[in-house]
Amino acid sequence: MRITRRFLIINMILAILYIVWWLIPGHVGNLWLYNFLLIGEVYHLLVASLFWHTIWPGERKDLNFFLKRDDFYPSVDIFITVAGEPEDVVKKTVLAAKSIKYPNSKVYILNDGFVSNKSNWRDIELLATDIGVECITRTVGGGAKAGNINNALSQTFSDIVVIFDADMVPYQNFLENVIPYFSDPSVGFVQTPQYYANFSKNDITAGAWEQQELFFQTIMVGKDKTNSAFLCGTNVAIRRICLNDVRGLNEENIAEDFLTSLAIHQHGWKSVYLSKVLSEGLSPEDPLSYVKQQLRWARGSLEVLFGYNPLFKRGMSWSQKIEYLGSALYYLNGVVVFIDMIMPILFLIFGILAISSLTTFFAVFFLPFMFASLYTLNKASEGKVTFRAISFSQSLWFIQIMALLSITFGMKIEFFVTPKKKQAGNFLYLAYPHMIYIILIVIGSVLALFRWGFTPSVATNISWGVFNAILFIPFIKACGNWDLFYDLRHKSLVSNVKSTETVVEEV
Amino acid sequence: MLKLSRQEIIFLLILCVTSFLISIPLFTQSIRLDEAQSIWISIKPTPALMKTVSEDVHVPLYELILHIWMQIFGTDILTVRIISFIFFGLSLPIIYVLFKESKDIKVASIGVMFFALSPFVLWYATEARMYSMLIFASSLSNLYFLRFLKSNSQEGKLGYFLSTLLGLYTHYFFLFLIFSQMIFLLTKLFLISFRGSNFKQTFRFIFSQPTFKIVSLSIFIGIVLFLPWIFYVFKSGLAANTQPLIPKPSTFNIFQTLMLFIFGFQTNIAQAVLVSLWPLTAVCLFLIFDKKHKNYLEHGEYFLISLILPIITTFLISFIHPIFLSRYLIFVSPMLFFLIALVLSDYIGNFAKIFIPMFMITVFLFATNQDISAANPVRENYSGVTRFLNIYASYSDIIAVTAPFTVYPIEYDYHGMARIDTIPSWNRFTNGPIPPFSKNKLVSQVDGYQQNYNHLFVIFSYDQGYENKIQTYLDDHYKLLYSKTFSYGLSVREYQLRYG
Repeated sequence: MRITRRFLIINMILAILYIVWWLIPGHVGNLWLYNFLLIGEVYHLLVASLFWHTIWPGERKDLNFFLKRDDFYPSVDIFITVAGEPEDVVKKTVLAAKSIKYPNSKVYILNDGFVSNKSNWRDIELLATDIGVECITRTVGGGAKAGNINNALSQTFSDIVVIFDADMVPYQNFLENVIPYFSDPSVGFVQTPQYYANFSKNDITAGAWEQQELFFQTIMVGKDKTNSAFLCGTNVAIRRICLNDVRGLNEENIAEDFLTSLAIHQHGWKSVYLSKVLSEGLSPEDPLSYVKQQLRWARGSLEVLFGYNPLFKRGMSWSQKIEYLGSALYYLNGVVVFIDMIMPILFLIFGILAISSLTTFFAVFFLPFMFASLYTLNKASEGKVTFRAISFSQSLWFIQIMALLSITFGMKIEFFVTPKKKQAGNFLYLAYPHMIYIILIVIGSVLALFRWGFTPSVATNISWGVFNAILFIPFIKACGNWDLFYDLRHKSLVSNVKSTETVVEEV
Repeated sequence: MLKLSRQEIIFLLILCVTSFLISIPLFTQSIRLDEAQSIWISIKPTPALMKTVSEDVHVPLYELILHIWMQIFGTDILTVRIISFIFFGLSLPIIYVLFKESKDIKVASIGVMFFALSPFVLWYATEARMYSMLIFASSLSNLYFLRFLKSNSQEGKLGYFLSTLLGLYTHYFFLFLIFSQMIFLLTKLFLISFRGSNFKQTFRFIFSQPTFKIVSLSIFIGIVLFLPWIFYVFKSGLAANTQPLIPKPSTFNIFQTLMLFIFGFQTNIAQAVLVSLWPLTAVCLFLIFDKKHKNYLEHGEYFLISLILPIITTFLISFIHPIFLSRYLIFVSPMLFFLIALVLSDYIGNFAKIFIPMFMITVFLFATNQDISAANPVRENYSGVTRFLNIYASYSDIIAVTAPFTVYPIEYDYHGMARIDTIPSWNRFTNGPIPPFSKNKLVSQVDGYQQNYNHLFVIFSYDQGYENKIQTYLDDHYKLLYSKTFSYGLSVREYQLRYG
């Protein structure tokens, strides 16, 4: 069941009531901290409002295409972007691309291994020869993945180009499903979801997939209704003249897809999001790869927010501007999470209170809003939200802050390609900030209990600390290599059994 | 009516016996003020009983049952309390079946277990008041109401009507349950019919539904049959003189009520701390809306509405006229236990294996603390007071009780020679309200005592706003010989009036 307008209105009323609580005079403890919290809550409300806009029930009526037209087979070039991925991964994708059922398509490997100093760039060329597809190897770098694609665009001539990452294995019916939308001449691109075939492999793949699921099955579906679906870098078909219109993919920013979509919409082209899994990919399998991917996305989105603010772009409707803003704003969440999480520590260790109010008075406004918001999220995603997905989103605060700092102070962040093979090792260090937080909460709780006893203020702040800690646990669990712990436990059990056997033998 | 397998009957019997064993310390506690009042009212002949109840803030069914019970089994406090436990025991299978029909055996077993071991529920299951009877009536009403809805108006009509009537004559707060049921039904019908139609069509649809017609008719007939009592109460002066002094609630009381249902009565500080842990419920919200677990709202929507709505409604009404008391809302406690069980039962596995026993142990510890702690704010050790007075107050002394209505539990247990009076002086056997406190009257009253008695034993409990004034006056003018606190807010102070 999808969310209804009625419930969204109720949710909005509860949100307004909640914000009203913050504006009622007499709750201010420490003015600075209170203002920080207030800004955070305003941000939450803004993001929630943008989300409601995305999921507001409605149907799209501006498209005019033929789902079945026998004479409509525009020429298609299928680009598979490669930058050092293992050959077996690339081979699988290329073979799948070759087997796509379509009378007028050609497959290309866009090999960026040479310019990005990957040792297997020659192997990829050999692979292309073996399979019988063309390989375009760049010799002059620049522009990362966007530069690679633009280079290929200059050497090919089809009506439509389809882009797949090296690990995105397309289904045979990909073009059969996607191409009909181009019968509407105003459609610039058709984006399809990213499905992670390895989602059940471990906590990281599962968490990453659950986040993707919410994005592709709820948010993008919502964006499509207002002609605001944007490019996601892979599993997408783009009309060449549309790309020519915007002078190819944007190479200035690591969020090239986002900015290119923005330009496409500014030029009046329409986007379509087809919510049907037509290819299978691989999620990052280890915490480091996952964190790097998130850092890249955060950095890109924040650069868009500060450098190319969608609100000030011409040629787009207000709905489109709002949708772009919503996507870019998401990555400021880390700052708000940080503000929220240090408040209990500031009280428990230093005795500084941001809010001076009867805690239950706050709860009366907060809990209904929270309940309604989670209910909305649950219904809008058709019950697909998981605690782990929320936990991962909240736990990435340090990544989002790093991205923000890097933009603010102009620090360079290396462009990482998300590894498609699991990196070995223990990544618990990625969860050190969260573990330090938990330790601080424990120390603060002990100090506060020692100084003031178990007073209501202490209890509430400890509860908030525990609340944050519980949210971080799935991420900490995903980062640690607990196999080592289980191995040790197993060894100890085995040694116990052995020693028992020895005793029995002696007897 | 209630189809139960042999295993289910055995499970419920074991649960009932366990509850009884846990409740033994409660059964043996001192008589409480309200209990003494119930006995004092119920011991009267029926017409006088009806008259007294009509002047009070309650309805007469419980007192009438207690009247018959005491005719047969006597007025001993332990015997009188048994009747409440019987209603509690009868509620167990009803609540179990209600939960089972609303979800499944797992939820029913966990939910009824939480209910049966709840310190708060057990407190009132062993108190000679109408609260466990209210749970019994409301559980029946809920069971038949949901059966009626599920069977598309085929089953449960008579049961719903009778339980409504029973509930209305058990406690005025039963009206809030009826209100919640009507709101739930109207919302449900509204949501079914509103899509694609206007308000006029929607209301026409709602009013044409047999479910709505039959529920409304049952409530209407129930209320019509309840009206004679209301007229009688009007005739008796609307309980204008006997309404308890209830303070205006704050938002704290809303959360406190929910905490009380789970953890029972604790010290004021412990309650404040427990309420302050509310942010942890936000974590529960995350668990409730987790993908891997079922949609709770499908099964829990009625329970959620009938838990929240009576609490919120009474809270809001209390800003006009304070009526918010946790014990009056006891009938919604099974709803809370159902919702907790609904969520927990879905987390069966390591989490539940650890959490449920931990939760039960915690509740048991809180129950023990509630039952034995002298700092429990609702524990009333009138027996301790009367034992003390039986030893130390002689025929040449006088006992004064403040507030006046607390005279009942003292009279119940005190068998000594000293005269018992109240401050302010109140004649319960004549018509009229408890006189208001006045300093002048206090002075002349105590002067009068001084003429005839050697020692004055003042019992302080239930501060009605003048306790401090009495104590200050007596401390300033008479020699304090001894003072002792027997339980939270209940103390005795002995003063020297003259040297005999």
